[in-house]
Amino acid sequence: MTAFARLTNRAMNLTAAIAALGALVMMAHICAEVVLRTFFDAPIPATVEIVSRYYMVILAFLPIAWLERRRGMVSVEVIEFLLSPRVIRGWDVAVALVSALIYAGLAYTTWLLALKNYASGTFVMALEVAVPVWQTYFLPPLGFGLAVLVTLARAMTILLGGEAEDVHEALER
Amino acid sequence: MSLEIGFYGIGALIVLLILRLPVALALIAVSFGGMAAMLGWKPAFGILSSTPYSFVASWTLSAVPMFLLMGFVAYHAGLTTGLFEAAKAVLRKVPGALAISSIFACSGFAAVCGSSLACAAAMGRIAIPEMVRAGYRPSFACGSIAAGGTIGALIPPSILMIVYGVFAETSVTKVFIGGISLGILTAIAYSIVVLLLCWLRPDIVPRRPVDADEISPAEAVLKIWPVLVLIALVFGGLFSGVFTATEAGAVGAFGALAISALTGRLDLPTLKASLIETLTTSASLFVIAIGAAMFTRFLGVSGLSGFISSTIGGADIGYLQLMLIVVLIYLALGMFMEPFGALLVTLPVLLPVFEAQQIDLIWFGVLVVKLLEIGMITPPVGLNVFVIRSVASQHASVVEIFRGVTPFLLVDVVVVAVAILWPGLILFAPSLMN
Repeated sequence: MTAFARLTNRAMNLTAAIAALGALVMMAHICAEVVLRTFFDAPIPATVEIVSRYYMVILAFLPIAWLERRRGMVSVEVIEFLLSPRVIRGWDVAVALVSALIYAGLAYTTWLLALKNYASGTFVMALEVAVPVWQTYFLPPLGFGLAVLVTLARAMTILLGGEAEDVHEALER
Repeated sequence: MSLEIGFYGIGALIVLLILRLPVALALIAVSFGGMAAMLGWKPAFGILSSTPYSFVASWTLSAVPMFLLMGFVAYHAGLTTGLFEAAKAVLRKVPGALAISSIFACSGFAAVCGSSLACAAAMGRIAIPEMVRAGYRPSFACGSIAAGGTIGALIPPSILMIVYGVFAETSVTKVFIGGISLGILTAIAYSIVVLLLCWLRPDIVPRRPVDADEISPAEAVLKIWPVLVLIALVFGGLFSGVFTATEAGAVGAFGALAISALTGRLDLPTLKASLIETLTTSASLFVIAIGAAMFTRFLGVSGLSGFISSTIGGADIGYLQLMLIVVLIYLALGMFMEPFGALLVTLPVLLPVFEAQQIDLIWFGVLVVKLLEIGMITPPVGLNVFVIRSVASQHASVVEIFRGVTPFLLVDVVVVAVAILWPGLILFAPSLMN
């Protein structure tokens, strides 16, 4: 269990780090395009396609599991103050399990879509340049799949009697 | 039959949200279930598999992480710390100078940052201790910054406006420009509140002007050159057409990093904190937006969007009645939901209604951001109040801060009424672009 948790932790931190790097590279790429286009009349080909099909997909899907672990998903707090801590813990388990199920559905269907795009070798045309994009279709199933692991791990740690965050903190120490 | 499923879908969504399922997952689950019930499993799986990628792979949306990065770098590197000093130096003769300065400093911060939370947090750290020392009632000092922070999302860049623009398929630049006038109107209205209280209740807002031993206005303004350069870079390039609103985010983020590095304020912890906040905010927003895109499809297929617009059209509801309903919906949602969730849950239903009623979508984009920002300071869930509580916990409790916000909420009613009764106020500047 601990070895498994350590591995998922590492995977999540790695994906978040790649996404952070992606944000910086996207910034540099767009700025370079603006400068080259404005002052040298030499735009970088396929910038729009690379930004939307590569950087954006990396930024959106790679950090999902990392976000789940940080409890960064937005939810509504209407009934929280009405419930006892005990009930909230039980509730958290239920929410984590339902979340895992939904993430699993997303991971599975986007995986099938990725296989389809892999088989057809999907690319987009930017003027005369063909930009292959089938690779990026594998990022959504990767992100959602890791989120399944995180939400399942959370349900398990709450059931075993600890707070999910505490366990992760203990592991990091 | 489909129509019924549409209504059940909205009901199920509300139940799942109350049961604390994350907003994004609730939207996805309801849309998937609804599509499966109406069209069968295959189309439902089709939407589940294709929407995440096709929605996110968007050029316009790329402005969201870039403007977030720009704001977080400006904040963490301390580019904006001089704003309060500068506003104070300029306004020090005015009664209630500290509160009014902090409101205008928030407006200045808003021009480099797209989020009202960051705006409130940054100003709260600097201005609240000083206001309390000068004799302001702590609850009011905290309330004025919580309210002032809401200007952050009205004055461009604004993440809420970019997301709105993507969903409403309108020009983000025009919504940005429309936001400037409502943002300034809000700042002026809040300043009037301070002046009135200064006059009526000197026990809450002391009349005494700021002590005279401060730096001169010219010196203070010189000190905020990094912010001024950043604003000039982003807005100059945007309005002169050198780059688009989408590209402006990347240029602004680069500008913020470059200025921070050149002035020796950029180190690894600063960069790391800025990147972490950028990732957290943009990723959580994108998942909700994916859910909202699926929900839009679901409502469209169920015929509910069309049904609601034709019902409102047929019921002969006037403009003012419709707007009253809209304002009430957002005030109610704003009590419990954070702004992106509230925006993305409602747009699929409301946009078709507005299109049918020929209401200007640029105008509504600005108004809806104002309404969502009011939700940031209304109890019981008022995120700006919570963030002020966390940066100024020794000065006031959450309940006291909500009390301090009340006068600003009252004047917000007037600001919203002006925006509704006089759409030209918002639409004048964008119309110059045609």
